[in-house]
Amino acid sequence: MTSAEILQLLITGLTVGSIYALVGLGFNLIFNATDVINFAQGEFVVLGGILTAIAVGTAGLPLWLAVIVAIVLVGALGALIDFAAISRVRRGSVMTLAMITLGLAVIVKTSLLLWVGPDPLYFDPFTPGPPIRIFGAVLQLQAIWVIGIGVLVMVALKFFFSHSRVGREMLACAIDREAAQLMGINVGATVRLSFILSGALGGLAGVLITPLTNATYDQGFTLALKGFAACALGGFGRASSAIVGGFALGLIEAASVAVLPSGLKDSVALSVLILALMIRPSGLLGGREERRHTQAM
Amino acid sequence: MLNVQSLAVHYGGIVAVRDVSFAVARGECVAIIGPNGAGKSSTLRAISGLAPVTSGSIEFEGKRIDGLPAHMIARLGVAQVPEGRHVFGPLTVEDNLLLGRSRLGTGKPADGLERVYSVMPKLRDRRMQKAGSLSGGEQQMLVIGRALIGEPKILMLDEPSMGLAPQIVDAVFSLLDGLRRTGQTILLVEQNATQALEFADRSIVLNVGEVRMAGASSDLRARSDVVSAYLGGTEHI
Ligand SMILES: Nc1ncnc2c1ncn2[C@@H]1O[C@H](COP(=O)(O)OP(=O)(O)OP(=O)(O)O)[C@@H](O)[C@H]1O
Ligand SMILES: [Mg+2]
Repeated sequence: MTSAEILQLLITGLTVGSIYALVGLGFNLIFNATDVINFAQGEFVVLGGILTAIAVGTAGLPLWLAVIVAIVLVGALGALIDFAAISRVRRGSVMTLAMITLGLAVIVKTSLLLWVGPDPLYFDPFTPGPPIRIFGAVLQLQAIWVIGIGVLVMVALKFFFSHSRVGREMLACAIDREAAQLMGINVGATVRLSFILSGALGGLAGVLITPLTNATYDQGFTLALKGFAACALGGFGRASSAIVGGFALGLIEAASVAVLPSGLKDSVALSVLILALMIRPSGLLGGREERRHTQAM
Repeated sequence: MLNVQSLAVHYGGIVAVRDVSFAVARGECVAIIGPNGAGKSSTLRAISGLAPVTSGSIEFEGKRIDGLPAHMIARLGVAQVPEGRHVFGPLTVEDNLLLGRSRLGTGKPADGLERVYSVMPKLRDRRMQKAGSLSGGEQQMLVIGRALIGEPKILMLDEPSMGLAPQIVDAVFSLLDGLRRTGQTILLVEQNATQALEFADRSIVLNVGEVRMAGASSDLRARSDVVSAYLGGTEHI
């Protein structure tokens, strides 16, 4: 492999890795708040892309406004899922709740098919212009946006959890619900906020990636699988592991394309997931007892 | 200030509290003692809204609070230091304390911290340490500090001496004594009857979900034979 190819692989890996990390962070938020794996996490991403495309294309909104509208709407969908379904059965088993999210994922997917059809939707990159060439590798301008905003959001989340009152309350609820309630913290509202944040993170991921990949109604499952694999790779429940796992998975996938037919890319993610679960069920970064509590990294 | 009337707490078919009535006046220190499974924790948890009230009523400052969600009861000034401590282990000592006044208390966070640190200087030395890495006694101090920083009107403690070495238990009780002198209203649950009867103005003996004896702690101390019979004979006064 030439150094240009290696550089290209790094760029591609980091770009998709940012997306996987964002999806993984969204998983973690809901997992820490409710112990539930939200199977609709991928649909958040698809919706972010499709809603932006519609807001720009059909409604004619300027891109920045379309992006905000899409992220707010997906965040609201997160709140709606908690309001209409999860919070109603909070005493239900984690398995029941997970099945509910799976059902919701199917509902979102089929509704999207009926609404926008099977064709990919698209909108222009945030900044127009030809890709930059560095040492023979191609760097799309949108990839800079993806990595830049992705990293920015990760840093912002870290500060939110370690330095803000509400962030600290979210951690407290994840660690010990009852103790949090005894401090006057409204656990229901905190869980609701986790769903909103998780939806917004997913929506943002969709907004960032769609100019590179287009958005199709049925991409959700694959995206959720990747985000899940990212979490499993690093260890479920920790923000830092979703990020490390996301970038690692992105890079592994990018590298696999260099040696395997690119059609096998998704199988590589799945194999990584299975391997990770077999070798270190608690993730690369640590034990299960420590899961979730260290969302502040 | 606190008035519990004919309280019953059932978990499904299990009866934890059958019929418990008592009151706590402002500035008073009351202890609930009783053997394992007597329903002490269930009584406290019913007051703070964590356990279901099957029947009866709980009034705080003249208002019914049974049926309110736990976080609303806490905001009225009812603090509970739970059995088994329940620090937020992965967070720092200071974050634990800040959480205690996240939705409660008045004034600046820094002043609240200062107040707690001045009574518990050990916590100041450990402020950046993870709460889970503290010793049992330090954790017990931390959860008491975490409750105090929210400026509760009534402080309820569930077996604060559990699992602590005798000299640490003494430290906890001398801290509670200090609080009592500042006029803090306290409702204490204890299996350690000796310490509890020495500390509290009045005491209530609970057994199988019912009040068996109640009165001034000095009177109960004088009838220690009856009290220890209710404590199952394992506790001697
Ligand atoms: N969540 C629960 N579900 C079912 N039963 C419970 C629950 N909590 C307590 N109980 C039962 O209710 C009864 C009273 O328990 P409780 O914890 O109130 O007693 P306690 O006096 O605090 O005892 P200890 O001194 O051991 O802490 C016990 O028989 C206990 O098994
Ligand atoms: Mg108890």
